[in-house]
Amino acid sequence: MAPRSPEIQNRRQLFDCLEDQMNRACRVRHGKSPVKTYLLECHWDPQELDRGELDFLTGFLTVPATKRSPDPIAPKIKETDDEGLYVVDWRRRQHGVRLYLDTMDDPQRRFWLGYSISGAAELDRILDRLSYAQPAIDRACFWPALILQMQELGEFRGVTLHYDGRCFQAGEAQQDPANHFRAEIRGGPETRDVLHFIERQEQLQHAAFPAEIRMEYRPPRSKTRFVLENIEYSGKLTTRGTSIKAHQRVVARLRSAYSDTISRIEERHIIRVLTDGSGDAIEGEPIFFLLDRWPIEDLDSFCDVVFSGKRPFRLWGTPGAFPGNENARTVSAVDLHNGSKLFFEIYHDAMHLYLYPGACGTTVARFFTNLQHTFSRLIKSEDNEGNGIF
Amino acid sequence: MASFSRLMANLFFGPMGGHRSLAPASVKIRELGYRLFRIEPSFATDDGAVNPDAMACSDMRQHTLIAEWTGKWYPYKTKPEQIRRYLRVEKKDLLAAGLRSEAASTSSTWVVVRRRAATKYDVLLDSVGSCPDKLMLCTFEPKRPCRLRHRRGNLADEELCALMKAGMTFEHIPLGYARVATDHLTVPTLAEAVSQEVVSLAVNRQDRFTVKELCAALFHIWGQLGQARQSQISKAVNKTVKKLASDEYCGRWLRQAKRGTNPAWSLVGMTTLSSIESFGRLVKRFVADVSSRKD
Repeated sequence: MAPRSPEIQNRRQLFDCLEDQMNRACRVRHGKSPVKTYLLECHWDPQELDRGELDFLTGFLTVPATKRSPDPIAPKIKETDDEGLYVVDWRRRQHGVRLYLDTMDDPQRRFWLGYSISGAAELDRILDRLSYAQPAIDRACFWPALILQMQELGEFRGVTLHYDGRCFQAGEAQQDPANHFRAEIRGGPETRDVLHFIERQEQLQHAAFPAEIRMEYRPPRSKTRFVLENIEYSGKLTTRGTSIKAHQRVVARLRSAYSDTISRIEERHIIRVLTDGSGDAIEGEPIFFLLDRWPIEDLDSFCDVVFSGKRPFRLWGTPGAFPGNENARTVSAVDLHNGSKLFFEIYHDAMHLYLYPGACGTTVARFFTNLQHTFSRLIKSEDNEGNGIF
Repeated sequence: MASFSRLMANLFFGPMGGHRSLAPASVKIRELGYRLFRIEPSFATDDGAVNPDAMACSDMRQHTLIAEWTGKWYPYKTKPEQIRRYLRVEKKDLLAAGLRSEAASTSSTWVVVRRRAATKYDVLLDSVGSCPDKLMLCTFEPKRPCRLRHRRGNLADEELCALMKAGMTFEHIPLGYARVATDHLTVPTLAEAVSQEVVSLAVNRQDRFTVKELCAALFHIWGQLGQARQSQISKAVNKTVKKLASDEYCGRWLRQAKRGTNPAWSLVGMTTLSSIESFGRLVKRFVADVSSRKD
């Protein structure tokens, strides 16, 4: 049963409550829900709202109707004494979930943090549906190098590898629920060696996608204060331990590394023409995905899957012939999450991605992460000079 | 569908963006300090206005390159006069067009045509009495590997001239810089990019758009184009939207909201995800159908 979420009025109360829950979840493994933290990305301009923030958020966080769930789920939102901190309650059938939403953690207010002690399954479903249907809100997508880099902050406590290439398979293989690779490795620092061993195996390299990592983090000079963090590629952290400050440090590092990369993509890789008195200038360079270690065999089948508009890629696109080159395809695409416009040149051993004005860096992070998760972990991303992007 | 002019526009912009598929030419061109000056500029000369496809310049090389490309199989009647005007471009014309004094010191014209049209251009250039140090004719074959070959003439910048004379071969021409060509305005050439814009608007739940807004998103240089050119492009884009909005495709979702000089369209019934997905499927069919047709 999901725990009752206490009423809170400010950040101090919230973090006391979360620390208490982390602590109990650590001592009593079963029956106590750990703290969940979600990194959400929101495209809004609080300065330009034509109504109050509370009204805006109620509409913004209403989960739209779908064929299966014909009724929208409107949240009840309460303001707190602290600016930008809200308590959001969704209720579906008998299940209620609560999210403590901090919209001020990021000074730009683009990246929000959502904390919860409600049951993860229902909350994940609600946030998934929300990001699926609402173009201005997205869950962050942590690429493998990012979560492995976070693990370096603390002590290795394990990893879950998951590779699911069913979307690229045909017929029964696609429907078979058991047809995917999952390996859960738990333990102490020695699990890092197991991961490195798997990553070196030629037959497994392509499938060694770290979907979740576990780490223990202790703040500097602390012997008793610690957190056990599970960081999932889907933008979620699950936390047990004794120090909310330690958790906040991990989250701050993660958010900062994530938002830096997303901002860099938007600054450097959106193709635009700037015009002024001294002339026009083309700005922005494409992103290069290298597939030489795991080439695409059939370009048309590959494009049909990636640009079908379905999960996991959710890219709408119109694959076409590449003029004068039968070994390549071009695709004008739209990210159905947020409407970003993209253009792909697809070869057997590489993909070149162009982003157009208004595109969101998260689109690229999600594309790259999904490709590594479902096609091959061996894919690399580079800029024009050969520097890694993710 | 990519026209010759879209390929050439991308081949022109790519090196200045330093695209790695175009190395080593892109590296050399950047080393020489070349940057894009204007796309489809129009500027006055003593003989009348000139409208090349693009211009690049380098302060370091004290040179401006006026580029003109055409995928037509034969030169239009107006072509000889156009070439004559390029050859008479003077420093004062370039300064008036907005170039800096260093780059405007010298200029040359670079004409690129299909290989099969080259003989006709030889005749044309002979007839206008071309100045061999101010005009270079090259041919471009878009079939892989794409080849840019020198045919005749020189450029005023010796280093750039040597690079062009050596010829260039590319495995891949990048196509993402210019999504559409401004001189090949047909439903098949516009369908893909127009559809992409409309789907993006639908995803963002924008229920109304004008054709001008669509054009501004599609053409980087929309704001700089003259009224006549804008009107020509608007008409072609509107025709493409109209075709997409026919009952055969998206008539249920896409309706004309305003006719006249700045037509507007409404996206209706896009309230749920499944409606956007259904719309997307029909748009895909539209692109597939028109791209396989000749207009």
